[in-house]
Amino acid sequence: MTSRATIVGAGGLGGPIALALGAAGIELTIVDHDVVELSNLHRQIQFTVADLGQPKATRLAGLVVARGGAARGVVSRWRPEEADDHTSDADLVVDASDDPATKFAVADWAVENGRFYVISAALRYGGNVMAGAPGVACYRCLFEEPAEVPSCADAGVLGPVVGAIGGVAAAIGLGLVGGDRSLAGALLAFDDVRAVAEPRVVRFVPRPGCPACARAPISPIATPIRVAEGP
Amino acid sequence: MPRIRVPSALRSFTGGNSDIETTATTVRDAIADLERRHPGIASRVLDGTGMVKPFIRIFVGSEDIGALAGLDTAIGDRDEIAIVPAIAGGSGA
Repeated sequence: MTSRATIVGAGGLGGPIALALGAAGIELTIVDHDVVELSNLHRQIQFTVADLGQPKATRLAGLVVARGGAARGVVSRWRPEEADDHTSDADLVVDASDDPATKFAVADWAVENGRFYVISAALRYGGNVMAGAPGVACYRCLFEEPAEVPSCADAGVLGPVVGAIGGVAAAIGLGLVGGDRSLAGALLAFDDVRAVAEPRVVRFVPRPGCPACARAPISPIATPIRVAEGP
Repeated sequence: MPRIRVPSALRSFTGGNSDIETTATTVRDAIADLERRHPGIASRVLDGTGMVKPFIRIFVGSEDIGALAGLDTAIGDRDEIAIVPAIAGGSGA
């Protein structure tokens, strides 16, 4: 049976994630409200000057389809109250947004609905990728609540870094939908991909009182699932 | 000697250094040591009550201190303390 994924964000991370998952045969819904700007092109290398002014979501979906994949673009911010329209059939949700609140909203929705999810972020020379699955500690167990943290627009990001982090996020997402839970509940932290390509793989425990886990169909607190040691 | 791995977001406090050696024997003392040598950095990691901020996690090796003894987690000569902040960038803008 074909797997389905929703990708939230069609920028620097969403580009490589969508192209990789689409080429692997996963049916995609790509959600992004933004349009392509000239200042994006050094790091959002899926786009060209011919795409300027066009919605990122539909343009990226078109690129996936042009490579033989299946994808549709939704020109909108991802909001949980609208998730039934574009995410309810997803086996996997991948956050590639640049907004802390959206990352938490995506993770909370995935936890509550028992879906696999990947939260990815890149900044300056490094990034983080978290693999989520039912029954393990969630993104809100890890970071608790959105905070005012720098975004790429504030602090910058080296163009190739988003390709590297996006590739890892795609690989982890493919693993999850393929049944590999070895990294479920782990955070891969890439400090500086110019110096060290290997991430620090850290595991964290369910946080008692986590409001997201309290709504999960499989509570990691009540029925903790041991996951295999990572690499 | 234990080492503290400083994330790139906090290296402006450490003159760009990513690894800081410490003689501390607990995570709490290690952060205090870091603050003595690089004033201002602790307030980016701990809140006003001395607790780890909600968007920061601290690991000893690959172990979350939340699963150990929190800030009182003991550290040994070969341990590495990693401060891992939440980051938001997706290169969307």
